[in-house]
Amino acid sequence: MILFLYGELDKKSVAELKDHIEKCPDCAHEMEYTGKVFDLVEETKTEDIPDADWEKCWSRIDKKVSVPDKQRKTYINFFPKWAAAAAALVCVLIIGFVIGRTTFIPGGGDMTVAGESQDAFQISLQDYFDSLRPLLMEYAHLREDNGSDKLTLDKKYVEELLIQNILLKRLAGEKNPNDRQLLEDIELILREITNMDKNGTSNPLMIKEYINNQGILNAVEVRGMI
Amino acid sequence: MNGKRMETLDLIQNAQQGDREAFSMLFEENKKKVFGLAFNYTKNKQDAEDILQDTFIKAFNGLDKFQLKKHSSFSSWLYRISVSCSIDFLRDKKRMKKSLSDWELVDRTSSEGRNPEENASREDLRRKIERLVDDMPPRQKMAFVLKHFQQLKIKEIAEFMECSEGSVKKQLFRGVENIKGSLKRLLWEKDYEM
Repeated sequence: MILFLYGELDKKSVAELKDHIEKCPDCAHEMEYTGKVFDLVEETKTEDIPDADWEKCWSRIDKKVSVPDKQRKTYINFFPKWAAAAAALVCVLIIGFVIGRTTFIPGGGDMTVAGESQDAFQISLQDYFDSLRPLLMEYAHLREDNGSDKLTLDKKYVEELLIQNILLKRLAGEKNPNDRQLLEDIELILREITNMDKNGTSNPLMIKEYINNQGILNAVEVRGMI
Repeated sequence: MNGKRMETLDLIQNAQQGDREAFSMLFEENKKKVFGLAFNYTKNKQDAEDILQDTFIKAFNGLDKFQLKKHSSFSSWLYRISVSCSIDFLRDKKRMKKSLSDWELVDRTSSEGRNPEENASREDLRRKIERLVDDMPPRQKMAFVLKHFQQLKIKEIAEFMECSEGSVKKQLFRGVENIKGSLKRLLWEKDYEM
């Protein structure tokens, strides 16, 4: 019914729906009510979008975009994906070790990324997302009639991703709350996937739902561009 | 390939080389479209400006990954980033709101539907709808805004939100049903005829 009102039903379905509505007063009433609700929704639309303070916006954008960051990123693309993923893992371990030795106060404090380590963290994160994306896509585009048996999973690979995720999440610390939240969401998914392999109790469609509802694939895609 | 498209391609290529002047022209070409979506999504100028900035910063940093072969156009690629930024923005905002409400008791008393004697006006209903849309989960709200306020096709929404058409339909269905259910209660309480 909603699709009909959007004008997104095919001709055959439109004819069937109209035929049914002629005979069914309940559905006719529901259709009329939904149409009225759509009219009200239409009335809430803001016709006059105000002008933004374009100059202020552009000057902020201009300040934040930096050429060195761009140049640094381009040569990463020369590496094949597996090499980048391996390098990222080694990089994460080294950064973790260095930070642990230099900035971690024994007995307290949080492990966070500081100064130049931030750049290395960003590179590691991008490479990690490159490795993760195919797995997320496989789940996000899983057909509802498919079971877990249709998924081709390399359990060891998923476990490696989980380890990388945990390390990166710790490195994100409090200074990168958005990254940390995203990594927490991804950790839930990876744990769910590894649990599913062990017990067979989890539902891949539930994982799919979680990925789609939280917009995780989208966030990974965009975050991977930075 | 027409002149305008050629010009945009040149701008993209120059911007990919780090030319900020070219990027500023791309900003000029696309700023209204991105801001319009962000404003319809947040209904707040300041928030929409923040999303606009996030979108273009992310776009600039991801320019070397933009390939015309993979994306239908630069503006649709930008739109996709804008959708993602808007959803992230709202998620953060809701999270912050939630953590604040853990600390303080938020006064949620409102005028809506409290007094059975009061007659519901069409304006009441519109306000109620605005509130219901505002309270939708971020992705559901994005699907709803793209469909009802930006008038996009479900296929396009799925492309921008990077999910299946089925998932978009589900989000729209839930959003519309929620509004219908809430209005039905309101109308029943107030015996209002639309």
